[in-house]
Amino acid sequence: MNRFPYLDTLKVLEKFGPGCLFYGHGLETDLDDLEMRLKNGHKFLTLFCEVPSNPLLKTPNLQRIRKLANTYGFAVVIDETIGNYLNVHTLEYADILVSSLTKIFSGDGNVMGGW
Amino acid sequence: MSLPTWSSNVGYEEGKDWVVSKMSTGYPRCGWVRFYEYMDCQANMRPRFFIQKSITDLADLMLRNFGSVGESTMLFPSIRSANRCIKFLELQSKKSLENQARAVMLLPAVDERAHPRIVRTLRLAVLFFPSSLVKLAKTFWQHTGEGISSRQAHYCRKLFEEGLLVEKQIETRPGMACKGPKRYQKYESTAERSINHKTDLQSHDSGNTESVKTSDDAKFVEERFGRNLNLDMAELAKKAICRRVIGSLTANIELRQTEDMHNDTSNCREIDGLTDDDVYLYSGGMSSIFNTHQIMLSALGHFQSICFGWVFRFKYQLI
Repeated sequence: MNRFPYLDTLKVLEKFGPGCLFYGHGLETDLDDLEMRLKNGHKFLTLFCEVPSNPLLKTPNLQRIRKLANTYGFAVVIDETIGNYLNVHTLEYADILVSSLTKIFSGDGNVMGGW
Repeated sequence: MSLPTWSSNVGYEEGKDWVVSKMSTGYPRCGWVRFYEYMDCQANMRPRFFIQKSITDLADLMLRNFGSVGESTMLFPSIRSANRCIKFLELQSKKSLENQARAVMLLPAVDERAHPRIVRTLRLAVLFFPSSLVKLAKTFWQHTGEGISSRQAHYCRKLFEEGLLVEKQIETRPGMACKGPKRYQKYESTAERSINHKTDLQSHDSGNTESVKTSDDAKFVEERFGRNLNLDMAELAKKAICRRVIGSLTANIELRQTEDMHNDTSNCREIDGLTDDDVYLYSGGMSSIFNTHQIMLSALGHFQSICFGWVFRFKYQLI
C-alpha cells in the first residue's frame, strides 16, 4: 500500500468496513500493481475514485479501471462532484455514481444534499 | 461561513486567530486541521467541527427533557442511524454500551384534521450515550453525514415546544420488542388532550393571533423567495431533482409544471434504460458515499475496497 501523510490511517479505515487499499497518486503504475494483485487472486469489493479528484484535479484511467472491474468482478464507484454531470460523462464507466449536491443546487448556498 | 479573500483562506488553513476566532459555525466537515499536521509538525491545533446552533440547541433541549447526568446526546433522522452510531461507538471504544446507550424516538402525535400540514412521517431519533464518547460520536457524524439538518432541528423544536412531537420509547438493541401500542396510546392520548386543549384556546384567545401572524409572515417570506419550499411539494421536488440528475428534465420551468411534463428519456446520459428510479437522494454527499459502501458490503460481501487517487479525505476514512 502506498504511504500517504494522513494521520488517520488504516485504523480509521477499519471503522466502517474491512479496510482499504489506497493508491494515493492514482498513477498507471498503481493500476499495474492492482492488476498484479487481482491476477494473484486478491478479491476486492469496490474501487472508489473521483473525477476529477479533489483537490489535485486528476482523472484516473477509467477505461482501464472498467476493464479490470469487468474481468475481476469488483464494482466501480465514481464521485463526479467536481466534474459535475453537465460537464463530464462518467456513467458508462461506473456501477454507481455519487455526488454532493450541496455544492451546486442552491444559489443561496443554504441546502445540503447528495445522491 | 464565508472566507471572502485569499488571505482569509490561507489564514484559515494556517489556523490564524484572526480567522478562526470569528468562526461560530460552518460547513459540518469544516474541521479545521492545518495541512502540516500531516507532516507530524508539533503545531498547536484547534480542530473545529461545526454542528449548527439550531441542532445543538435542540440536542440540549432533549438532554434537559430526557437525559441523565453524565450523558451526551446526538440527533438522527432514524433509529437505524442511531443504532449504527451505537455500533460504531462500541467498535471504536472496544466496550459494550448495553445499558449505557439508549435511543428515544420522537414522532408527531397530532389530529390530522387539526394539523393537516404537519409531516406525519417525521421522526427524530435522540441517542443518549456516555459523555466520555462525545468525540467519537462527532467523528461518526463527520464521516457518515447521518445527523439531522438544521431545518429538521428547527421544525422539530417548534413541534416539541407546542407539545406535538412526543416520545415513543424504544429499546437500544435492534430486534428487541418495543414496549408496544399500549405505551404509544398513552402518549398519543396525552398529545390528543394537548391538541384539543390548544384548539379550544385558539378558538377563544385572540391574543395568540399576533404570534401566529408573525410566524406566517416569516414562512411566507421564506417560501416566496425560494429559500424554503412548501412541504406539500417535497415529493415533487425530489422527483424533479432525480429527473434533472439523469437528464430527463432540462427545461427551465416552475416546479409545479414538471408534474405533468413528459419524461423525456431520449438522452439520459447516453445510457439505455436509465430512469429517475435509479437515483437515490441522501442528506449530503458523504451520506451517499457512506451508504453506497454499506450497501455494497451487504450485497457483495465483506471485502477490502480500493481508494484510487487523492480523494476528499473523509471518503478515505469511510471505506
